[in-house]
Amino acid sequence: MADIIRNFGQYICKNALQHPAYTRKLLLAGYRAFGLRLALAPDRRLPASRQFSARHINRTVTRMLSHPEKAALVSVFMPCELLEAMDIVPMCAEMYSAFLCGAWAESVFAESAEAEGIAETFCSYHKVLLGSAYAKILPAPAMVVNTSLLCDANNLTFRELAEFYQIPQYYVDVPKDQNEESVRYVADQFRELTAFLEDCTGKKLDPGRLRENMVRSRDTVNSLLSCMEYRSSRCLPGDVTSELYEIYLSHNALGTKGAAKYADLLLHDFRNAQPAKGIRLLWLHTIPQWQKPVRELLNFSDRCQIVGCDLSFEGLVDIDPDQPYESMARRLVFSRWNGGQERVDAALETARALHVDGVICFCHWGCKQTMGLSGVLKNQLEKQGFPTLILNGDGCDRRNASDGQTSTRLAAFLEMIEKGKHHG
Amino acid sequence: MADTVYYVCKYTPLELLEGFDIPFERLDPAPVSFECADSCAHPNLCGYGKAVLEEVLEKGIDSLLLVDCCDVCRRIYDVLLDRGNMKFLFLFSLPHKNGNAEVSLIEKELRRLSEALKDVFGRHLKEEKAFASWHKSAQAADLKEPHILLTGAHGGKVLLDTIRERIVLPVVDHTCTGNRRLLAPAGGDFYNGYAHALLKQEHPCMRMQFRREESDPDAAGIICHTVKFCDYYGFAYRHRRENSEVPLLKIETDSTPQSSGQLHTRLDAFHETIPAQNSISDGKKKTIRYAAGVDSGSASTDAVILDREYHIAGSAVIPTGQGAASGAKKALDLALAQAGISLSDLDAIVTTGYGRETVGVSDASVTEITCHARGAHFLYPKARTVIDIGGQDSKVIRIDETGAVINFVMNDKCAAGTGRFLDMMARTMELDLSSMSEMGLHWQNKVVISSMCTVFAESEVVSLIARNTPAEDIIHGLNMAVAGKTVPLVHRLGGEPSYIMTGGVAHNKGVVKALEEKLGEQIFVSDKAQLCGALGAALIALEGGRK
Ligand code: SF4
Ligand code: SF4
Ligand code: SF4
Repeated sequence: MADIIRNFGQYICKNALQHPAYTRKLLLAGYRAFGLRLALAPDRRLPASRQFSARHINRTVTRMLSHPEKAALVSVFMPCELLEAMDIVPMCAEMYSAFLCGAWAESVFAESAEAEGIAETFCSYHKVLLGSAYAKILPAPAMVVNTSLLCDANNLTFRELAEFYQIPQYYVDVPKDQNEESVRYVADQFRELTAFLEDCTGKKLDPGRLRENMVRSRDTVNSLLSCMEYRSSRCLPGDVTSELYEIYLSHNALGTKGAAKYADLLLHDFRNAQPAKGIRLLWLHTIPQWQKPVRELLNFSDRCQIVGCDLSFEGLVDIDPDQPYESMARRLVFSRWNGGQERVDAALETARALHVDGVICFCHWGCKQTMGLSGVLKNQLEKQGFPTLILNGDGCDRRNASDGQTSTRLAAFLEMIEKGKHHG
Repeated sequence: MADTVYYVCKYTPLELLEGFDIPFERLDPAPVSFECADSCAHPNLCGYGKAVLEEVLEKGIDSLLLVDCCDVCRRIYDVLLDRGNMKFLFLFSLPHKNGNAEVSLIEKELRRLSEALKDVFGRHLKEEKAFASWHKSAQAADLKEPHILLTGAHGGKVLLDTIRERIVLPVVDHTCTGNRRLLAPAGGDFYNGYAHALLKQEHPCMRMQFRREESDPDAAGIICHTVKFCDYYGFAYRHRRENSEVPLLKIETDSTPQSSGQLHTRLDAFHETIPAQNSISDGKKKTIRYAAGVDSGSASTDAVILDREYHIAGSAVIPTGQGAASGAKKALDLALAQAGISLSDLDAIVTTGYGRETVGVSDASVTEITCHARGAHFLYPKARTVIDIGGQDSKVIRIDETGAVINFVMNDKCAAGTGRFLDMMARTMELDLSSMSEMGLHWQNKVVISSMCTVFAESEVVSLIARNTPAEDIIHGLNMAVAGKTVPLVHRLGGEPSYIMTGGVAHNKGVVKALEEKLGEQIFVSDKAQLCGALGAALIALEGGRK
């Protein structure tokens, strides 16, 4: 299978620049074929929840690519209950690029962005997205809706693409200060966003539908929080790709039936899961799900497992369906990632709550957000007794990572923890 | 000075500090290394951010007023907070929009800052003093005579001095702290009015959602400064490039003095594109019998002697060896011997290349950009785009029908895509360069070398060898990797046919083929490709003397 995908990717790379329309169709067909495979022959090693998430995310991506005229390009941190209530399809930038990478087709787009003068050091999720837009592979969405959270890349890519496609953009600015005043400020922007969306679509928001979505978001968040208790003592078979999917399901997807179903299935799976065994790892930040040594060492392993990724937990904030705007605002303002020390504290709390043996801080190439904090994270986590590995690599661009180096570092870290456990 | 508060951004409320009678100074870091910053933060933070950290830690600065500008500024704050020995450390919130709601956020932030200043420094705000300073900050005037505009990320003294040294026109600093002009006070409450004036200041920076392209009718050229690992200013450059009517130069530093020092070639070449520059002294303008060009590169030194009929009378290519001066002399002597003339027969000498200013024999020195353009035009008058891959760098130059430079880009920061990369890989594969040139044409199966970094690429090659991949296929993969690094430069510049390739790597047939394939165009290679820079220099010497 890996070879087929690799050949597919190489074919895409070869044709992308000359035949964009054809390539776009081909990619969609490829994703659909993969979806079919997931439906007919799912990976039975995965529990029901994770089999579901693979199918669901595949459907989400094919949906956004087949209906760009109804889509809003969003960043993964953008709350989407409002969009869904107005039948606007969120087109998640990061997931889009991760899928291109999954199809081995990212490099041609990273290169075409660089050829346009985008820095080689720019986050590759964004670079691949931009490059595919310049190459006319990314179908033009109807609008752009993004927030300043979590990083600078949002301030650049989305404005650039709104200008490139000449489509309207709404930008939700999130202050760094975590207080009620910031919540009011952001909530007012969501109100303005409603007017913006009504303007763009010519439709009125049905507050009943928004409330329904908020109720579902609340229930989903509650189920995901309930899973936390089980995560601390049980283990669920999994692979790194499932962790990546959970990031999406706990962000843009909140409020949808898919996310609600996933959370219920996950809770059910955890309730029936085996007791924990092996090395327990907390993963910080995004995951290079494409990388061979990461998959080999961490997928379905008895030796070690990722018990959680902090990105999936950072926005699980209380929701009041009767205050939809304030609730969405609160998710952003009180994001555990809005603020450096806040993010470190969240990592510490999660490491303690999940009884982990070690922490991997993944420094995605170009992500100043995370790289800049990695020293502080390591310092504070290790002071509290959690061995921490700073792993440099790239979640979305094969050119910036070396399998050999990743494999050596990860394996040595595991050996070190095993030794520590033995002596401890 | 004790109590001095350092700052880095033009959105810093300096007038408030003035009102508190607290001395302040712009932090102008120029560290020679990043030892502290690499270890307490991360090597891939932006160069400026690392420089700030380094400076603060090295010099024991204990009062810093940062602005919530970008991810890096936030992380500088977090790292310093974590280390915990600052007397005053403040991160000033800065919205990305500029409506009324944002003004009132800034107003609250100003009040929060005032409280912090009161607490730490035990002083009180004298509003009239702050007002007076604000009046002054609203009056800064624009320069109304021809000048060069330096835009982009954090300038700093070393960079400005470097530019001023190479360029005759006055240089106006429009980088982060350079073009600060607040709106004038209009009465009413100090905090609210000041918040308004600070946020809506005359020249919003690129980080703002409401940023706009500013035009400057008196700018004769624009230099866009970007910092390694900074995201913002690459985008700003893109916009400028689309709209600029005057010569535009993109430079990148990492805030170290060394990185500014490496800009000489770019700055000189840029200077040469601004009208009214002349290099050969007037006294020399007489009839010329012979003229010489010497290209002092890091790997080889080349010399060409032209007679008045534009014939190459002599030429030489030798390894540069120990010193640029002795290499140049040797190359010139060899060329003179070949031409059968002596040094006194030469009426003009122009030098070019990295060592152009140190070789000491010339009448003038001209950058290799201009020389390659001139030489390429001579070798192939149809050429409009020159691809030059040398030992240490690669460049793409667009030229017009007279051989004058329209625009250029250089890559000299990274070995990938240069002759050095191929040298290293040849060594790894235990091959010499000429067999590599041939073998690259005879591949069977496509091999993809995906890594951009030379170190990673080397390990990819090693594992391909271990898997018994035929050498021809690996070489083709490497050639495609070099082409993959170079062709984006061509696109970035909007390269147009006809193409000519110069520099040592032009003789590598496999690379030329790979470039043609990626480009979808034919590339002309002259048997004088290696001599192109020296030839251009000789032509300039010859013509400079003929005017
Ligand atoms: S990986 Fe980092 S830089 Fe990239 S989008 Fe995520 S937070 Fe931003
Ligand atoms: S980019 Fe703007 S906000 Fe950031 S330091 Fe420069 S002037 Fe200040
Ligand atoms: S150079 Fe760029 S990344 Fe660095 S501090 Fe300035 S704006 Fe931020």
